[in-house]
Amino acid sequence: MKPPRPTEIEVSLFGPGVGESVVAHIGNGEWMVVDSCRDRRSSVPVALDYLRSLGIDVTSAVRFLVATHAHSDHLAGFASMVAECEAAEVVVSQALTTEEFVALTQLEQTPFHLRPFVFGEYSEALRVLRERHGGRARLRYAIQNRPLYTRTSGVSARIIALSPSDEAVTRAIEHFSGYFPTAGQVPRQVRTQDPNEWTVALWVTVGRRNVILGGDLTKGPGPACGWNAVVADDQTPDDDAEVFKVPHHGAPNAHHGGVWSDLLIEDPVAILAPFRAGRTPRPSDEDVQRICGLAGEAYLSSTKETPQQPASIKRDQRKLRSIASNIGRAAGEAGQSRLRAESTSNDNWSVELLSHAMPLC
Amino acid sequence: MDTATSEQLGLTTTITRTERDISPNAYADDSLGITHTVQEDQTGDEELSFDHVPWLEPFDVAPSGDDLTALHVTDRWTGVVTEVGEDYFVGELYRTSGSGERLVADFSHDVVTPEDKALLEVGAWFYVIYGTLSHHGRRRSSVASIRFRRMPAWRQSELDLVRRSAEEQASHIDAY
Repeated sequence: MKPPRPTEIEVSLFGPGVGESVVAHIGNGEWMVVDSCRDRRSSVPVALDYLRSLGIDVTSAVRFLVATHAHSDHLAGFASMVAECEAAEVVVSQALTTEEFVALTQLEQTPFHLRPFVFGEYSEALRVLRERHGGRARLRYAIQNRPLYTRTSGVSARIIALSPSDEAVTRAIEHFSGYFPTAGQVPRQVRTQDPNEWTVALWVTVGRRNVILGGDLTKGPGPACGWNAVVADDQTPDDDAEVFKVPHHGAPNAHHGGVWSDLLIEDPVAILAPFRAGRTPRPSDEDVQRICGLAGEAYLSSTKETPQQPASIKRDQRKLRSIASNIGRAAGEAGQSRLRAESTSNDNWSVELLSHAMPLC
Repeated sequence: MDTATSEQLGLTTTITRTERDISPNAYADDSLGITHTVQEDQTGDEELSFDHVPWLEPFDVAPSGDDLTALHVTDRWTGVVTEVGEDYFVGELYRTSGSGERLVADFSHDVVTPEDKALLEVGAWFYVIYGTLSHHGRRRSSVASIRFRRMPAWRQSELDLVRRSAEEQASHIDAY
């Protein structure tokens, strides 16, 4: 595969059915990776595989690694990314730099916890960073309207955090404190109930092109959190974005009509990754109808339906059918929706759907 | 016995627990709640002889009680509850015997024993086994079973240790 030209912007969304990863060329040979998921066969982060297939030197060319939030399904392989992409700044929600959050990660380090470790990748990434920087883990924190990057040489570029808002971070700290157990409570897997309000959404401009990467950001709660806070804020960029990475796999709790009417062009290109691990897979038929009614084009990085199960899984299905149903592997091969456009012109985006990626509408 | 070492938590304090710390109606981690003796058979699988296996009741395959019925476990998973509905829950399963991929499965509340129902909530861990029941050495039927993990409650001293570890870890983060 050929890498994009230095003046081309690329936004590739990978999604294996659980989790997702965005690989973006931000011009001038610089790259950004937002979240991580693994190749099912090799267990290597798909972003690493892809960048290497383009002949990119990931040790120097990846400028930013962004963890929108710390859940395992968005961070599978993130620690490997941090280890390999030595020049990258690691960007996280400000909420993840707090002692209250670190306390939750430490609960998983006790022997009373079984797999899966929800925050294991995050903890490992911190360890890698501490080793690299003489015992200090350097994290670039994201908070609403914070410029994370501005480049004026060559193709211009800027990256701005659209979230989390101050109130979301405050709420997150309260949540984290509340999730920490008290004496007498029975240990449970560390799990936050409503984490997506404090996730990172990004505004990315390369040349004339604007893109919104929505992470898993929810609509609220309340007027000062989530997309409610983004849409209402005067400092949110005035331009309209052409591409929207739809948040939270198209779920209605992350839909905000104001994003489509105020922050995006008419008929934008929408990309999203499916989530097949829950009782209600996303996007649902209603989600598809809603998104297709708003977007000019929309692409899904993999099928909504659970893929054909291999023989080993079928054997497990037979063994467990007396006590369970819908048994299967939620994740399959990661498909890729790849969008490229010349950053210095207004030409249409070129779209390539690789592996199991498909049009949504 | 569960032990948190200083290496794991980055501190000098050590947490030690024994089964005595666990409530009387609970069982130790990984025991599956079975009063059993473990013998290695020729295949290397565990052979569990048992006097009572109350957690088999939902599947109507209770042993005969003459001590000649045995459960031969061939597959084990640990699971975590990710979603709880009115009459179902969703769990993620991780193989602990052999190799295999993470599975997602739906379970009816009906397969949970009455004594385990109180443990059913998001984040709860459980065990799943699959094996064959034999009687007088002859295979009779296959059986799958789910059992929720009983955990000793957190003690203040343990939580204090985790807090101190978190304080230490957070002090090494340079957020800029």
